[in-house]
Amino acid sequence: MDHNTLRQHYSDEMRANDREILKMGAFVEEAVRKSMQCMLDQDIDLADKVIRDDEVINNLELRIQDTLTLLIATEQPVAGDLRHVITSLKIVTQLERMGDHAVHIAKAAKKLAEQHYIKDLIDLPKMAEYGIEMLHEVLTAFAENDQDKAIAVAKIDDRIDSLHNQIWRELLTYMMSDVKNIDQATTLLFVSRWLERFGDHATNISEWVVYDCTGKHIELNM
Amino acid sequence: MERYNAMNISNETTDQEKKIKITVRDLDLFYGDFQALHKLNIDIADQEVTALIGPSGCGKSTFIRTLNRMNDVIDGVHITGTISYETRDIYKNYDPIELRKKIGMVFQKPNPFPMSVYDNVAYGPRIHGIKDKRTLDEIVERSLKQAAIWDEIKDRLHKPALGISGGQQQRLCIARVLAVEPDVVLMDEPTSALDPISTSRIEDLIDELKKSYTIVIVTHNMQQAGRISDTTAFFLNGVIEEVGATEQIFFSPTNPKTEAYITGKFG
Amino acid sequence: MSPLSQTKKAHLQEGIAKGIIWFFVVLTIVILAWIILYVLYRGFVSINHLHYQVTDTIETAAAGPDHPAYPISMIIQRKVRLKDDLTSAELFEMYTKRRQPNWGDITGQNLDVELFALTTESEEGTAGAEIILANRENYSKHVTLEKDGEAMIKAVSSTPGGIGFIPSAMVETLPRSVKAVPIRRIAAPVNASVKKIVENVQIQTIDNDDLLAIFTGKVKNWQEVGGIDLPIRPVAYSQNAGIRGDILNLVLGENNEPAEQGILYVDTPEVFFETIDSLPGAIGMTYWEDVKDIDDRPMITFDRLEVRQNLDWHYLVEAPARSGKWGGISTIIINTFFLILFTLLFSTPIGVLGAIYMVEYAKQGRVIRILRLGTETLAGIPSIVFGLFGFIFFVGMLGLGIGFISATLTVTMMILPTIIRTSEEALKSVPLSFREGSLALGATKLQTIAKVVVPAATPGILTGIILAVGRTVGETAVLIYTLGSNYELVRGPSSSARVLSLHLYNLFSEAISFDRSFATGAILIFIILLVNYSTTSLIGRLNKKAGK
Repeated sequence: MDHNTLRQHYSDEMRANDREILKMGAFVEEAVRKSMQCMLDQDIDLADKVIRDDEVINNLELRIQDTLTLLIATEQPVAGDLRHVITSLKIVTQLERMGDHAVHIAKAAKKLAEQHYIKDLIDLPKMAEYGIEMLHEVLTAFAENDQDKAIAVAKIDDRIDSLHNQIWRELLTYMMSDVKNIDQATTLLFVSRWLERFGDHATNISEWVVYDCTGKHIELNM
Repeated sequence: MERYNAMNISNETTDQEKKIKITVRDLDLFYGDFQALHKLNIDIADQEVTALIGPSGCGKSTFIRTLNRMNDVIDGVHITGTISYETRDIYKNYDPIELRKKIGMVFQKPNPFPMSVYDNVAYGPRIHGIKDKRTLDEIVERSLKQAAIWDEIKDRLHKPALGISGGQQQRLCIARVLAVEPDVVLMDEPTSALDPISTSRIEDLIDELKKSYTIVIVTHNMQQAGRISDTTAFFLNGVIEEVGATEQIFFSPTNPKTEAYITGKFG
Repeated sequence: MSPLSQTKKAHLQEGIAKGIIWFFVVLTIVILAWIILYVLYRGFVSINHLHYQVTDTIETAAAGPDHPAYPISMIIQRKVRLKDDLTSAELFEMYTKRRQPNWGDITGQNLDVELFALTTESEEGTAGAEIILANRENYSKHVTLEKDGEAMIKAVSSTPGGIGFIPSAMVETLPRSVKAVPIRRIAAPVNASVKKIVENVQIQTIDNDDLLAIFTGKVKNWQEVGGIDLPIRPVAYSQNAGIRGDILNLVLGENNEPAEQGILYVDTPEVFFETIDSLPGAIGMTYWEDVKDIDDRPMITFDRLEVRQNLDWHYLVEAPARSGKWGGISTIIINTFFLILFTLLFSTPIGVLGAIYMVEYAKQGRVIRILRLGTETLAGIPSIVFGLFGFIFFVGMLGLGIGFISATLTVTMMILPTIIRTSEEALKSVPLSFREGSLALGATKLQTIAKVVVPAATPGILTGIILAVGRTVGETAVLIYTLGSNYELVRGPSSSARVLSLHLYNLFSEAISFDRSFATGAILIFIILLVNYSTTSLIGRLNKKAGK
C-alpha cells in the first residue's frame, strides 16, 4: 500500500496488535522449546514453569481478541484491512492451541521424569525444532504479508509428519518386544502426536496468511 | 488447491442475467480545454443500485450529470464517446426534454419549489400535459407513497413544501421525480445534507425502489456505498479506476488505488 | 492589560457603539415621524390668522325678535357649508357685485351664490336693505326679490347656494333645509393719528382682547397694543343713542364693565364721526354700514385666529374649480390614478420581460455588461432631464403635444431602468437549484422560467414596482413639461391632466392656497402609505404561500 497518509490511528493500532501477536508467538515458541528441554533433562521444576506460563499465553489471546473486536466496531475496516483483522483472530486461536500442546508435553515430561528412557530421544527434539522453525517462519510471513513464504513454511510440515510416522513404527516395535515398555512408549507416542499437531496448526496459520494476502481459502494440509 | 471460493466473485457469471440500461463507451468530457473525464467505460444495470465513489472533484458528479444531459446547460462543455440508453445515443438521437422524463435526478441539497407539497409533486406531470385533477391526485398520492412519505404528509398537501424538515424535503424531491414515471433515477449525494436517521430512511427507500427502477448514486460515504449498492465504480481524477460488484470491491479490490481509497488511506 | 480589564474595555466600546447607533436611529425616526405627522396635521387642520374690518362680536337672532336693532336674520341653504358667520363687508360684496358671486371664496365650495332679498314694501325688507347695502348701492341684478318671509324660505331652501333674509321672528320655525347665519357688523373707525408711521412703527392689527382692554380702561396707550406712543381716546354711543346705544354692551359682554373714566360718550352718528375725526388717538365702535366713506376712512383691522378642519370628505369627492382654489380634488386623484395605471401598463411588461431576457437568455458577455451599465446610469439621471427629453421628443418631435400620452411615455422611460434593475436582482436571487430541479424533471427552459423562476421572483419584482409607483406619484419635474395643468378629468390620450404632485406645486407656487397645498400633500402621503401597505401585505401573502 503506497499512500499511507491517513488513518494513522488505525495503522498504529494494527501494527501494535501485530507486535502483540508476534510476542504471543514468541511465548509459544519458548514454551515448546522449554517443554522439550524438560523431556530431555527430566526437569520437573521447568515443567511446572511451562505449565504456569501457559496462563500468560491464554490471557494474551483474549486481550488480542478483544482489541480486534473493538477495532471492527469502531473502525469498520474493509478489504485488506478487514482480511488482516480476520486473519489475526484466526491466528491467535491457533497459537493458543499450540501453547496447550506445549503444556501437554511438559506434563508428559513430569510423568516420565523418574523413569529411564527406553531409547534416546533424537527424533522428538528434531520434530520440536522443525515445529519451532515453522512457527517462526510463518509469523514472519504474517508480519511481512508474504504468501510465498507462508506456502513454503507449509512444506516443512511434511518433515514433521514423516518423523512422526517413523517414531510411531519404532515405538510399536518397542511395545511389541516388551510389555513393560508400553506405558512409556504410549506416552512418547502422545508427545509425538502433539508435536505433529503443532505442525498442523502452523500450517493452518500459513493458510490464513495466504487468505490475508489474497482473500482465497487454500488447503495446505495434506 | 482452491476450495470453497464463494468470495471469488466473477463478474462474468452474473452478467448474463443482468439487463443493461445504460452503456457508456469511451466517454471524454471537456470544460473548454480542460479534460474532466477520460475514456470512461461502464454499464449501468437495471434493478440495481450502482454507486460512484471517489475523492472530491474526481468527476463523479460531472459524470452522473452527463447521463441526463444536465451538463448541456453549462457553457463550453462538450463530450466525445457515446452514452446509450436503450440502444439510442442520448446525445445524438435523443431530445433532452424526453430524456429527462426517463432519467430523473435527485440533488444533494433538497430543492423543493416554493409552492405547496401537492404542486411540487404535480409539477412534472403538469408540464408534460396532464391536467385532469383526479389523475393528478392519483399520481401525487402514488408518488408520495412510493417515496415512503405519504402518511407523514397527507394532511398538509396544500401547505408550503419549504415548511417540512430536510429529510422530508428530500423524500418529497424523490416523490417529485417518481411522479413523471422515469426508468432511471440518478442521485447526486442525496443524503450528505441530512442527519443519520433521515439518511437511513432514504437508504431503506432506495433499497425498495431498486426493485422497480435503475438507480445510480454518487456518494462520498463509503459505508453507504457498501450498504446499499450492488455495483460500485471508483473514480479518481476523471478516470474509472475500477468497477465491479460491491462485495468484491469492498472485500478484495484488484486495483491498489481502490484499496488505498476505501481503506481510507487517502481521500 | 490584564484579561479582565481587556474584557471590560471591549464591553465599554460595544456599549458606546450601541449608544451612538441608537442615538442616530432615534434621531432618524423622530425626524421622519415629525415630517409625516406635520404634513398630516396641517393637511387636516387649517390654522389661519384672518383679518376683518369688524370685531368678533356676533349679533345673533338670539338678540330677540323684538330687538329693534336686528329685525332680520340671514338664512342660507343647507348645502352651503358655512361653519361660522358672515360679516357685513362680505354681505355687501355679495349683494352688490356685478358678476355672480361664488361661495368658493368663503367656504371653498364651487357653488354660485343665489341671492334673495325681501322687497322694500315690508319693514323687514327696508331694514335688510339698509343693513346690507349700507345705503351706498343698490342690489345687483343677480338678487331675486321675494315678497315675504314664507316665500323667502321656500325660495332659499329650494335653491342650492341660496342666501336670503327673513324677519327675525320666523327663525324659530325654520325647516331643516335652511340655516340661520349670524352676522358680525361692528366696526372700529379711528382717528388718522392712530395709523401714523413713526420710526417704522405702525399699528397693524389688534385682536378682540385688545379691544376689550381698551374699553374697560386697562390699556391706555396705543403703544401697548402695537402702535405708536399716543394716548387712547375711546369713543362710544351713550344709552341715549337709540339702537346704537347697545353696541358698547354687546362688545363688552356680560362680564366686563366699561371704563369708569376716559370713554367719550356721544349721542348721534354725526357727533360720533366728528369726534373721531378731531380727537387724536380716538377709537370708536359703530355699525359697519354707518361708515359711509369706508374707502377713505382709517379703520382698525381685527385679527382672528380661525381653526378649521382642512382635509375632509368633501375635498376628496368634489371636482376642482378656479385652478384649485375652490372645490375639491376628485378629478385630480382620478387623473393621478390613470397616470399610474398606464405607466405601469407600459413599463411593467417591458421591464420584467427585459430583465428576464438579460438574466436567463442573454450570453453574459461584453454586450450585456454595457447594457447593464446603461440601465444603471439611466436609473440615476435626474428626472428633470427626462422631462426635457420628453418635451423635446414626445411633445415636439413626435408631435404628440402636451398631454397624457406624452407624460405617460416619458414617465415610463424614467421608471423603466428601476423596474429592470430590481426585477433583475429578484430573478438573480432565485437559487440555481430551483432551475436545475425543474430542468431535471423534463421541463423546457421557458416552462422553468414561467412556472418556477418568475413566481419565486415575484415578491422582489413587486418591490420594484412599488418603488416605481412611488416615483411616479411624486414626480413633478417630468410632468411639468409634458402634462400641463388642466385639472379636469383626463379625456383622451392627448388631453392635459393635472395630477396630485403638479396640483400641489401649482397651489403652492402660485400662492393659491397654503392650506390646500398641505391637504394635497396629506393625500399624497396617504396614497403612498396605501400602495406600500397593500403591496407589502401582498408580498407577505406570496411569501407565506411559498413557505418562506
